[in-house]
Amino acid sequence: MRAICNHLLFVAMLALASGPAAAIMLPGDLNGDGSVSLVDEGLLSGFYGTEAGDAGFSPAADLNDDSFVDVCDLAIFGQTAGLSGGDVDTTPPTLAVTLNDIPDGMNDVLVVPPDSFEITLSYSDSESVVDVGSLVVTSDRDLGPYAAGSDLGGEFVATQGRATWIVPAGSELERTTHFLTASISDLAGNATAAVPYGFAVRDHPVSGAPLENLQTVFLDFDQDRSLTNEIDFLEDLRFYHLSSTADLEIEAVMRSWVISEILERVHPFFGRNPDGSAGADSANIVFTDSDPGGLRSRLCVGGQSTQGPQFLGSAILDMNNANEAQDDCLFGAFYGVFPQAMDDLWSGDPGYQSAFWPLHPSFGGTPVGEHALDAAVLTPGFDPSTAPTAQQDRWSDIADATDAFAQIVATVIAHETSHMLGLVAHGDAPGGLFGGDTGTPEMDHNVSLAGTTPQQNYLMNTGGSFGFDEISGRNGVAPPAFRAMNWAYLKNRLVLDPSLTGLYSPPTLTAVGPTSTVVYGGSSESVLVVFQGTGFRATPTFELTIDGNPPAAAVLSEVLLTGNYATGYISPFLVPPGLYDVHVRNPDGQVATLADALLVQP
Amino acid sequence: MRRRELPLLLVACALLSGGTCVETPDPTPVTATAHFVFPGGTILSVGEIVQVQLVVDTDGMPVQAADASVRGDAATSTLLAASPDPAFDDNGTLFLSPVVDAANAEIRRIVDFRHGAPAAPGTIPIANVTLRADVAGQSTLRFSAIRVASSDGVDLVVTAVDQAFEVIP
Repeated sequence: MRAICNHLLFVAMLALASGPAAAIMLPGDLNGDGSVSLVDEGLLSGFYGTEAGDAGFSPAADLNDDSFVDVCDLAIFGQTAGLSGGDVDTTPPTLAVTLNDIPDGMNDVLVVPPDSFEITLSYSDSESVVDVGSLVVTSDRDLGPYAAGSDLGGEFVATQGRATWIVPAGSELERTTHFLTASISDLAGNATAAVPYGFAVRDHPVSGAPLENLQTVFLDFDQDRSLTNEIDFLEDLRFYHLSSTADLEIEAVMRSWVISEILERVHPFFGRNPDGSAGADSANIVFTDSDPGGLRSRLCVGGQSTQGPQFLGSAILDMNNANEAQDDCLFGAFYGVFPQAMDDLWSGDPGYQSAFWPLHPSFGGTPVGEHALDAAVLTPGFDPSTAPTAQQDRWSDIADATDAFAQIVATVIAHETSHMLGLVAHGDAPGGLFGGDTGTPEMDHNVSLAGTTPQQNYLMNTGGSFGFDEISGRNGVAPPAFRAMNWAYLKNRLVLDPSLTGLYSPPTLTAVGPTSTVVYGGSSESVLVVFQGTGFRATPTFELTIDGNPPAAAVLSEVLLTGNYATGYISPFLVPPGLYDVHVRNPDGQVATLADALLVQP
Repeated sequence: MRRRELPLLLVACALLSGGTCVETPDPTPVTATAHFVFPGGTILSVGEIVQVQLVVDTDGMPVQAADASVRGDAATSTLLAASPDPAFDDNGTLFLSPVVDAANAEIRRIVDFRHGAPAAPGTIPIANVTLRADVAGQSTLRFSAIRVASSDGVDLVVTAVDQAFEVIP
């Protein structure tokens, strides 16, 4: 429990003393009706004990604005209880709409799958309590079983600060632009303006949706890619003095311990329990240190990268465990996780020295396996809390270095695995996908809309940008975490697609002409075809299909767009006879179809 | 945006004894002591039910609100309920319904406040706890948490004093 109230309010009150008189609300008037009554007291009791960030917290009840509703607010309330004649609240709440809690400025051009993503509303009112029952949300298109225009507000799980609703699985939203409209009121009856929010629904743009099924990552700690006739990961343990060739039994114990620590630390990055079982909010991925066979991704852990001594890791795309080439830890030690880079990056850092130097002979330490107490402190069931001081000290040194090593390696594994799953810079697969550290600044997930790199400790920041404490989550620094955009991708397949530059209406295709003058093989010259419709955006592509079969290749060239007309040339030699459906596809992925629109004669 | 703090300024200024509203208040914490008062002494008989007062002695500051949690000794006694003390309470009810946690021999969230004028400095009984002596032996009643706020919404620094008592057959 907090012990000290916020004194700033009192100072602020004094500072206001010489200010101009103004109409104001009474502190404690939580329903904004101009008086502090039993109704307000009842409201305050409902918020008592909450703090900012709690689902039940209301800033209107935090009378001294210290982020807690506690005895200090109650004391202030007591001073105004029973007063009336204050100003009535006329200020509506603030309201923001987004998807999956993504706060970025670019969140209104998100591309989402046809179901299972989360609509998140956040709102606040420092004058009066928000009336969560007043929430109204509508969509301009059907949302699963809910017809366009119907009120979805009742479907949301609403608290004082936010409301969420997951679009039901199987909703099959139209692959086009959708607009939501939301509003909410406070208890004084002040409603927000209708807040619009648009997003684009598409099928996943590259090689199928990731993480639809549970993906398995085999962490391979047993490779000798450095060709030294020794397993790279054992060389790492010796390099950091977490083991020694002096005692191979103890080295085996340390290897097993460190690997289990790594596994227990990598799973929580993806919302899973340390043992890999699903948590309340987890991504569909699990790690193992033994080869499960079948479809899996493989990430080799150990040694030094051939790309350079400061490369912590590298990975290639392997969504849905589908890239078999990835499984071979290709190109020597080009791809993988490389613990030896830690030394190159952070050996001068006090945190690094504090963790590893107690085991380092050059600094008076003793490697694990060479100390007289190691056999005792590494015996299964060893309890440091009841051990002699010397054993406690030795245990502490080993545990501290193990903690640092395991946490950093786990962080790098989580980072590289996320690249494998598609969290890399924008571009065509496999060069890039959804959210790395380079690429077009205004569309990059690790920079703000203005293009400046934020200071948050995000997991997908580049390896070299982390300080030792940041990547290890030690010395009071919280460990890295996924940016909301990245997590939304892993959880619900939300992406920022560079091809989507705005929220446009879908195209329509109303006519194709001429419809029957194309004669297959009848002429060596291409035939001009005119397409009429609406919503064509520079520059659309046109496809021909029969009965849903794949389009004929390269049938249209030199497309020109003029308002609601597009022209192009069809080569009669490339289009077999038949009655074709014509599809127009805008650059943002939206498609319109005109059935049986083009006849190619024999 | 309007500043809702302004009316409180007027209230708080009135409470400053002879002061003006242009100076920063003294940040020196005001102290208080919280303790228990057993109505008939600290020797109870098995089966006896008593109302123990939760008392705050303040050092010159009026008290507007208090929030306490108390813990007993499940081996010898049972904490049954908490209620407002008329000397502090002005409407006959606690602000919240206290949480009686029998498993942990604890009552949490004993919260009350005064509407309007605060309780004057001095000895202030803020609430009562109903306790039943169950088994003979030595026992202790403790504050597991205690916060007290003055009329300007400032925490008092509270020293909590446990109270030993004896249960006899």
